[in-house]
Amino acid sequence: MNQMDDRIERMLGGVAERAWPGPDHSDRVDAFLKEQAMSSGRNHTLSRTTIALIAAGVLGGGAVAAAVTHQVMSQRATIIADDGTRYDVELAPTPEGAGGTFVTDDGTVYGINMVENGEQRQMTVDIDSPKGGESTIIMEGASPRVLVAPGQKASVSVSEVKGVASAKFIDEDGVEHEVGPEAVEGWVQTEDAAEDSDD
Amino acid sequence: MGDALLAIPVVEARGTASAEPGERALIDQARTDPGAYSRLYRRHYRTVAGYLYRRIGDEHAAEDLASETFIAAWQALPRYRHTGAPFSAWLLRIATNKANAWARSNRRRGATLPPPTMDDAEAPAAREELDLLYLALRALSPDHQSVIALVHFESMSMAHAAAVLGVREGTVKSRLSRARDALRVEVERLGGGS
Repeated sequence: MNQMDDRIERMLGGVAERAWPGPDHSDRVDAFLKEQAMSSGRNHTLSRTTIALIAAGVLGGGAVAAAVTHQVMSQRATIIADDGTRYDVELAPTPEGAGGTFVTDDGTVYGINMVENGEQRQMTVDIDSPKGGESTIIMEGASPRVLVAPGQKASVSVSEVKGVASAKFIDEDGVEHEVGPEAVEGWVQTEDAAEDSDD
Repeated sequence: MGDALLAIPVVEARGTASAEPGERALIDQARTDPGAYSRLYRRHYRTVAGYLYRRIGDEHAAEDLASETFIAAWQALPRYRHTGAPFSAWLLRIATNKANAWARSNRRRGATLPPPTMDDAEAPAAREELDLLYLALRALSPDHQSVIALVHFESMSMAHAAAVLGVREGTVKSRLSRARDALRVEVERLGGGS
């Protein structure tokens, strides 16, 4: 038993000698703080017509390393404005998943919720845009787009079950627009938004 | 929890130095200034990342969790109170919570964790020992993993580990004893008894 104790003592000591092999800073934290600094500024004006929102993360079926990092990665989202500005946003953990509300400089409010339930992942993005514009929601390669009319509220939901993505769009009247997997890559838009986009 | 933090002595261990002169002012500035927080987090990054690396064994996961820790710390900083304890103790508590959640979630999902990150120069026998240790360690409860990591890997005193964990010193001692017993059982179960 003493031999075993000595051996475990040596093992533990071996780990204690392991120095951190990585960098002395985090690119992710740096990007987060940069975004915090930008959002606290008042002079930045965003002339947005297109915003892409990307949820990062890979789940299931892939390499073990990808699955391990998924939980962390899935709590991040990136908003990219048409002028190239990137907002790397951190979603707050909740019992159901992760979520957060983000306001870009032009006043567009994004409410993001990511929910995981077993093999199913779902991301819902509520968009409240004072000026209107085009948004693309990207998750696991699925990228439904939605045109939002000025002042219109919209909700886009992207689900993934066992690697198959589908999307639905709920307009501000609560009417659901179902789209099949084949339409996920295409356009989804309300009639109001279509009228506004014809300008 | 607050009482435990007040009782913390300054000890010689990784990441346990008391606040550097001016750090208190920097912490206060960092509550509202991302630039100041950037300087603060870089000062402590290696301590936190190193702790997570030794605790969970995998470099990439440790890097992710370290980022999570500092982002969570930024969000919680307005509620941070100066207690006389090193700022790093507060960061390590957040990091410990992140590592515990990571361990619990992996266990719930039955995830197969990658083997510990190895140094190329590491001898094969040392690699085997390291592999065995992390296999055994990961089978323990997150609380047991934490106390072993803080006391054995970070060379913390019982008092400092108590401050990080937010428990009494006596609890650390008893928990460490049970954790070591559990670790020995796991090492033997995994074939390390020969």
